[in-house]
Amino acid sequence: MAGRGAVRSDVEPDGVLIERSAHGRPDAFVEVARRHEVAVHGYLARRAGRQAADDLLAEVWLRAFAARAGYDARHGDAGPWLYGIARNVLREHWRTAGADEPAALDEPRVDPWDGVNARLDSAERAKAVMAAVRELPEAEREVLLLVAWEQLTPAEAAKVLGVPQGTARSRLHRARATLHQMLGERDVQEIGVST
Amino acid sequence: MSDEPAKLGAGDLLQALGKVQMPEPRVLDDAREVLWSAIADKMLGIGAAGGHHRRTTPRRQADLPGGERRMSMGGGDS
Repeated sequence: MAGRGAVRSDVEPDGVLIERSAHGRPDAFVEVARRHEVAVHGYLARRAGRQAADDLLAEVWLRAFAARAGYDARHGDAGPWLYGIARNVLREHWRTAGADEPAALDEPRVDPWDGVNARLDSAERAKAVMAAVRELPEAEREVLLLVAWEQLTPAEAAKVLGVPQGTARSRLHRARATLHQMLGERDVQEIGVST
Repeated sequence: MSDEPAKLGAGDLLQALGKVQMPEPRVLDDAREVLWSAIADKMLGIGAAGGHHRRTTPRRQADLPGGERRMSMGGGDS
């Protein structure tokens, strides 16, 4: 996954392991889970809270394992595929729990500021940012958060969502433009500039 | 030197708001044990992954045949 370290040349790509796991060595899949478990748990925790993430992580592995035969082994990095499965697990979780994502975004999280001054200065603006994010259409919010929080490129976000790259880029552009408009801050444009 | 923090922009704030705590190792271990349970059944030709394993209490690692490390063949256990 971009931003989380390139695949080392001496390490077998995820695609090879998944293909092997689908052809006689199902245990090879565990290494894929091991490589991505912190990132996938973080994704679940950011969207549904830590407790839900703890509960849902195993479900992601089971669904991914069950779907491994359909994985395109040419994709060395299974990250976007796993995020896509996690996304489906989350949607089912929200539906079952009668919750929705905007509400889940209010889950308490790590205090992102080290100093009291920074906390006081930023807390109100942080509320405004999150309120603006919650107001975004779901499709735009998803691309924005995949880029801003999961450090995916727009192309990787497109894979997660199963949409063309151009669609993901358009949604990201619209999300940033909307936030820019709502918050009046030019630096919103920084989100997702890198590819 | 001033203690005054640099003012964060909206983009920085959004990224900062995405910080979450690292999961406890136990949580990751438990999730992998559920996966191992599905794998063990697959290797033994029992059932289908994602079926009866869903949301069940994971078996302890010691209960798995051979244990995780002896079974692991994929990509270098670290």
